[in-house]
Amino acid sequence: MLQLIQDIIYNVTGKRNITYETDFVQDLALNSFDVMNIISAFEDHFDTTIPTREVWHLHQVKDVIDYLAQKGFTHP
Amino acid sequence: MNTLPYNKADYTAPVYNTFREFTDGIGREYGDRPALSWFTRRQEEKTLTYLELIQQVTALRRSLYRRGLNQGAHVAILSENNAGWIIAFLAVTSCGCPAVCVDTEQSDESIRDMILRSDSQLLFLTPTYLSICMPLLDAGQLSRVVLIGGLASDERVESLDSLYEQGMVLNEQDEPPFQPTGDQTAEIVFTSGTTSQSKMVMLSQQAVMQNIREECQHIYFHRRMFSSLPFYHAYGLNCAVLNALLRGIHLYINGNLKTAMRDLHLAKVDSMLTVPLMIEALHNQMWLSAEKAGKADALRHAFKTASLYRKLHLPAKSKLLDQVREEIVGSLHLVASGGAHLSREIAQEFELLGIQVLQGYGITECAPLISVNCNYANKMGSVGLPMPSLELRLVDGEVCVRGPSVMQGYYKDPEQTAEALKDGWFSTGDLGYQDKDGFLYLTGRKKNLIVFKNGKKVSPERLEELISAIPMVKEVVVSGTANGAFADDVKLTASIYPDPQRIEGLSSYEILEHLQQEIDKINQSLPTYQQIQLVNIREKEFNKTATKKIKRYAN
Repeated sequence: MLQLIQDIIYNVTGKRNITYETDFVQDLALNSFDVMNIISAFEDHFDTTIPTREVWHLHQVKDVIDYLAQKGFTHP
Repeated sequence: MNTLPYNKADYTAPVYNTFREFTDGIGREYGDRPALSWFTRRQEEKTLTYLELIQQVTALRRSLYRRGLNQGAHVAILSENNAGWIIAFLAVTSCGCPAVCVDTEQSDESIRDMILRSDSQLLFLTPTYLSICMPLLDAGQLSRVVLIGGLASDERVESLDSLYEQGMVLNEQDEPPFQPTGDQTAEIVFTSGTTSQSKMVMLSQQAVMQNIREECQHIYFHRRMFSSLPFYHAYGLNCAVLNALLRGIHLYINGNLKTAMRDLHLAKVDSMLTVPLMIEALHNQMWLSAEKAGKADALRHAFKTASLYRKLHLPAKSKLLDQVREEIVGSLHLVASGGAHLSREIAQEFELLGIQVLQGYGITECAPLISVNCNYANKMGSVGLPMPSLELRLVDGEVCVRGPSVMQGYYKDPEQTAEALKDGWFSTGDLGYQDKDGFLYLTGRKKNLIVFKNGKKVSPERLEELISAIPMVKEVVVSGTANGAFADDVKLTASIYPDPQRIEGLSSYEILEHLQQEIDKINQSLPTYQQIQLVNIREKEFNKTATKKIKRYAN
């Protein structure tokens, strides 16, 4: 799953060196538009919708993984 | 008659003084032309013509009147960008009622507070916000709710579709007998104040009509325009939506930042109204694609050559730049940018790609446009020429304006109104100067507002109030720490002086960890742009004024 997220983040922002603890805003200095573009890429990949108000709670990579797991999405 | 001294286009904007004249006029003038389009999640394009749009507005207006909507009643709209938002807005304002434009990006509590403070009697909302507003219905603080999209499951909730259906069979006799007048309030828009609560700006029908008409005198947009700016802000609503409708052009609306880029490409527009954040995102995308394709050096070289040719006034044709432009923005060739400062370098690269960038400046209290560059009178780095009907003067460097598009005042706040408006002059809080040709340049801010690249503004006092509630915090100052080359490229930082009694025996690390945990909790309730990104601990108290107020800039 981490590898998949690393690929998505690289494709959208060009940023590398992503870990479970990476914070989108504090570590990657992404703005709200970048974060939304990443979330949009997750939505396309998993064919799901993540409501904008729930995006506020997704600060770190592990938050996204937990969120997707709660929704029943896992990735080998 | 309006002439177009700066855009050389043979176009006269129709003169309307009220929203009733406006809705009747655009339906009559533009009939079968496409008015609004948007894309579904599956990328299907949906379109409403001017005739269909106004038919729905008329049906809704008659339906609302039949249900007892009185002239002057406040009606709130709480919804993501969609056609229903615009139809509800036009029906309400053409009825002579003020539309309360609620900021959807606020916390649940702030949203409820905005609806209550504005004395809204009726609320249009999308299903996302129903659970947030149900407590207001349960407590009897709101009498009715209309659902935009989705089915009503409660007798106090009606669906917009059912109101349309009922309105479609009504006729002229069911029109409200009252017509709005120019001096009635049309919009109540929330603005980040320097105090803890957002202020409610009242804009009259006449003020909005004047401002959107004058925008036509400065900028000539082409046939198809794209905007993903939120409708609850005066910039997105007046400059993009209402201005596009006044001109009879085809506006592509986007309701979600997540799909803004996708929709921009699908729409194949020629013009876009946006904030620097989106322009920078397109710019980043351009360089990222070039790097991935191993063409970054070639692109740098192409820009350098094109820039040189331009300086020599020679035509600069570059296959690579044409390719990049086609890939990144398609047919787009005009971008109007406002809300925050746009980097000069980015604007220059866009110009070299063949995309004209016109920067403007506005403030909610001025409906909102104060100045903007023109297609044929564009000075990069400036925010353009003032609107024709606005008087502009600089008082100790602060931009002050007076004219018909300035607000009526802040709702239920005569004190703040008296402070902001003196003899009709509104002090913007922005510092600037004008060159010999009258172009306005902004240099900074007098007020404490922190301005971000996406045009969002944060009042530090509001966040300080939240952080002060943490027991360990004795004093706090929230500021925007520079994060790049420009004033609005900032990181929200909280500098905290901890309460010495509460930190006895704790290490610096433990104090920071505790404060970080508490701030994380506060961040959870705030939209991303308002979240504190950095916490600094101070060992000394902040310097204070004689009245014991923290000196914000002297610490």
